[in-house]
Amino acid sequence: MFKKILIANRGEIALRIIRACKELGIKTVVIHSQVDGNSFATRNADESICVGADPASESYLNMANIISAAEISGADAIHPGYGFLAENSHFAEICETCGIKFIGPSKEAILSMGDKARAREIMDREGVPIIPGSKTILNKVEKAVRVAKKIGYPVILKAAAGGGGKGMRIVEDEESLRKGFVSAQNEAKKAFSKGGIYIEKYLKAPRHIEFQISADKKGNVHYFPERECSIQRKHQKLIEESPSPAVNMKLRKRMGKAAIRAAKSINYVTVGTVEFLVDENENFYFMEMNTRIQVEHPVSEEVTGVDLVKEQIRLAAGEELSPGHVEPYGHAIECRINAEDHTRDFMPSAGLITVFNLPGGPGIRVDTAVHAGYEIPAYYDSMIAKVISHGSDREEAIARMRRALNEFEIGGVSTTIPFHIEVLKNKKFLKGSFNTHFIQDEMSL
Amino acid sequence: MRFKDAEKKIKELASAMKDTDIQEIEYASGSNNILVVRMPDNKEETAAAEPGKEQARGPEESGEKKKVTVYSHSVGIYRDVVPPSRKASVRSGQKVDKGEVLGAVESMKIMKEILAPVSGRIAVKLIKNNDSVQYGQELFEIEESV
Repeated sequence: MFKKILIANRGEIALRIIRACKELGIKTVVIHSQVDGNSFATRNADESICVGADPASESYLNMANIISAAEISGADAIHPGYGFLAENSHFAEICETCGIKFIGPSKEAILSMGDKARAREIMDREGVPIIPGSKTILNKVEKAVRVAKKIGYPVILKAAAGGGGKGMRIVEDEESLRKGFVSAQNEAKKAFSKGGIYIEKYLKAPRHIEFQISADKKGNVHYFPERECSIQRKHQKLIEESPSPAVNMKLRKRMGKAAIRAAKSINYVTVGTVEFLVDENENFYFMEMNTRIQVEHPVSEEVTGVDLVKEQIRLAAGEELSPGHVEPYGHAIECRINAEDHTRDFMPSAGLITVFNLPGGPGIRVDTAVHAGYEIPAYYDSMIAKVISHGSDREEAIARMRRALNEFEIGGVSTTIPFHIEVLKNKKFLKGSFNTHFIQDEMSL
Repeated sequence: MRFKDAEKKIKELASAMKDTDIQEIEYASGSNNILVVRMPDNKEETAAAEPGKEQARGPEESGEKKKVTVYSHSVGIYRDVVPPSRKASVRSGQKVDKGEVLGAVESMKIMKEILAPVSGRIAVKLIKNNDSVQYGQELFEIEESV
């Protein structure tokens, strides 16, 4: 087991890792930027080292200074948390070269999943369902018509060179495909000076459902009960829960096995998450794999009793998998509380937190590194707390979350608590009948 | 004693010495000892400068002489002498020229030299050979020649 772990992150996740290390009897050293010098994380670590100025590019992404910090402090492993360097294969490689264990998968595994086209190719080869579509770039409309007929309408046309939604077009039938193909080609030519088009099946109202996996170096892989993450805005998750109201035992087993295949195909070790899109007919498609611990990992911890961060550290140290937990115990929900004003297009609200009174009581957990008197720096993301509720069923978990959100007092900055309370009153949410368009359709946001 | 606690205590002691004629204070707690000594001609407090880029300087008029603090811009081990041949090993009270090598921070086997941002006299050397240093740490105070 490791003797000392350097934590290359900040905020609640840095604190979460410190807590796991303390329970495992491992010393901690946390790096920080100048503005974070007196944070709750630095105060709780055994050591702290300033690695740079406030902008993340000069501190939390400063690989040379972070590695030096590990060297001078004698850390034998680095935990990257999420964000920053967590999915940077180059950083994982530098750690390896310097003889410091990177707590995550191999650099090859990070690379395979970081390249979306390559990941899709590997999944297809391994029999993990991917969204059906053209395998090559299409230049002629007749070929597009043939592909669309095979995969079924509606389809989405995407510029091969594209990004940022440019040159994307959803078509419902052959006639609109013929018209749309030429326009999409012209748009793509204009925007990217290349007219190549891809076709993919368009999922009208998909759910975002993901599987936490854990894997040891012997090749054993477990899956955890799924997490439902459809409540999102601009691909940013806001509420996560486990299990999903839309997944039954049979589907869970099918998807869980696919997640295991995905992890095995790249010899994955430690913890990771395989994300899927699921349609109304229980068809599921691989979206991507996150090769790190995720923000929403606590909901899986609450329904299984497994400490995922401790498990991640153990697995990185070469230990074997703990027993699996395929079926959830009860139900857990997480609300990400951001310092943002949801009535003003979720505008970040940096500043001094004057009041910070945490909710509590049965089934409530709050992961935060914020406190009264804390000034939210403008340099980093705006998440200030994660409230996690656990109940014997979904109804109880929701009731507890509502109670907790009403108890939570935060003064000095705007927060997304009122937004979460609104969602938790919504009839479709309460029924569990929603998809990734929920925020747009139901909340008009 | 943790570095941060020591730093806090030093500041506290220095502040207690301000506006008095005390030249030395020694503080002892358990196995820890801190000795704060007033430097000659060091009657005014040095202005804290924002550590930033390489050897950021923070000159501010204080009486007749300007004090400039030299900060570390990297993380590593401080070395008095910079190999292969350049001598550094500066001491408190020593005169230095602008651009002169004061020492180096070794980081991932690479020596990053610390250069004097101004000509003057080393008022205080705040670091010892082989000490570990972090970004923004104060290394030297130079009393700039007028």
